[in-house]
Amino acid sequence: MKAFNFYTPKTLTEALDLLNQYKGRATVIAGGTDVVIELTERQRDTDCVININKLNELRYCKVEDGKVKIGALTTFTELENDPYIRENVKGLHSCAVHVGSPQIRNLGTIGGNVVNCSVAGDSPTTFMALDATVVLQSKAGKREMKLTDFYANCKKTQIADDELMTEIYFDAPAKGIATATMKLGKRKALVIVVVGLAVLVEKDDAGNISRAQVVIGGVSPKPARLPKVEEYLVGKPVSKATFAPCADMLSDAVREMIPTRASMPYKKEGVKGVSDKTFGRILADFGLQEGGR
Amino acid sequence: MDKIKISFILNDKPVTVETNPNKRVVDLLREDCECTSVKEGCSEGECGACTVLVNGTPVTSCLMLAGQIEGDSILTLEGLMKDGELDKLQTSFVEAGAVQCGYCTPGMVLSAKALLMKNPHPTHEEIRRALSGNLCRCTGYTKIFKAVDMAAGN
Ligand SMILES: Cc1cc2nc3c(=O)[nH]c(=O)nc-3n(C[C@H](O)[C@H](O)[C@H](O)COP(=O)(O)OP(=O)(O)OC[C@H]3O[C@@H](n4cnc5c(N)ncnc54)[C@H](O)[C@@H]3O)c2cc1C
Ligand code: FES
Ligand code: FES
Repeated sequence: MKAFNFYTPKTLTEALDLLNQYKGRATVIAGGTDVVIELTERQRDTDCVININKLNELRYCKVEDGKVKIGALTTFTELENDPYIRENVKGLHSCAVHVGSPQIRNLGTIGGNVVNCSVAGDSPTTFMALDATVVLQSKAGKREMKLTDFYANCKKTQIADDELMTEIYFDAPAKGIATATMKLGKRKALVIVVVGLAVLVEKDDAGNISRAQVVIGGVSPKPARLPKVEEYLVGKPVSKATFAPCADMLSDAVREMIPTRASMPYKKEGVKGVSDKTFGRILADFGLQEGGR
Repeated sequence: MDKIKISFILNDKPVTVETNPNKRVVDLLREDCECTSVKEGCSEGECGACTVLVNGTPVTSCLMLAGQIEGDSILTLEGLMKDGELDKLQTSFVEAGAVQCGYCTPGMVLSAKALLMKNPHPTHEEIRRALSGNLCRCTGYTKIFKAVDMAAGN
């Protein structure tokens, strides 16, 4: 590992001052599960490392003004154990449960996952289906941006050198909303996603779908919403029959997204099972049918 | 590079270490604190051999920088023995035959310890899940799960 100076700011203000002072020459470390490997393997050169892991003010999960607000330093374990998320945002709960191993879930933070957003990142897919907004803060002030815009450029995110991500939030799911996620990977612990799917479905009083947000991950560099599938779903009744054709639609989408990639044939088949399972969980979340884990 | 001073609790004793900040926790514990039970396997968070407990929570010490444990309480296998007596988990690992080459054992025992501290009578599934971040190339896991069952009095 190359040499660097190390700072552990005690407050957010102190952290933002440091980032401002070192603009572009600093590396932020939260849980460290992505960044320490980059530093040891010398993929990353830096003048200083700013350890934000002691900023407990960024460690929370709460419902406020109709929004679910999650502090950037919240770990996957904390998210998994949050009773509100477990009951009301099943898709996000299941996403947290299936990240890495216990050790990785204990260290890895939501902020690190969202900012790093590797192809294999799980929570960005789920947060995009929840139409989440990220809060970015610098010495100059705060700005907010929808996750879809944050990831608009497929190479990097919109975060500036002197900014920290402080929070991600989304509308608290009202009655009539179900969420589900699922990833296909190679092994139960530490699975790196082959293809991931996250879905939010809202139904009206008549039992018809009034809104659908469908996001695929692990295929393109950043998770992608699938408007075709979403448009197909809106207006149809919430039922197994409605969801069944999604498997083929998703398979076609994978083929269109990565026509020449060697993994395409595997992913396009795999996504069908993922689709059936995920929509099965949506039905279960609506209390309509057993969905399994 | 400026050295940093890190103060933390190691196996119930307060310690202060001055070190280079580009050290990982696994190196700090092995090189500066004589805790050689902490093993380095894969160096990338996959195998769990380097597992230690930070404030009672298992983490992979190969993915942490030394400075991150400032003020924390660290438990390694060296700290499990109390008043000259082995921890229940240590004796059950021996009795169940859960140790072969032993490389995974410190991490395994600590992951199991963290589980039993939170949940003294875990189910089989809970044990499997708690140990899912610790790989063993020798035992086939069955005896390891049995050892944890024994320690839990199941
Ligand atoms: C063995 C193993 C298994 C894994 N399995 C999974 C998995 O199943 N699913 C998955 O999605 N990921 C997985 N990961 C990846 C990783 O654990 C996650 O991406 C994790 O959430 C990263 O969070 P962190 O706090 O550890 O990030 P760090 O490594 O601390 O930081 C990651 C990046 O984000 C930046 N950053 C962190 N926090 C902020 C912030 N608040 N503001 C601005 N920038 C910030 C850092 O500068 C760095 O560039 C795995 C990693 C390992 C080693
Ligand atoms: S050495 Fe740390 S997990 Fe393998
Ligand atoms: S006993 Fe050899 S790796 Fe587990």
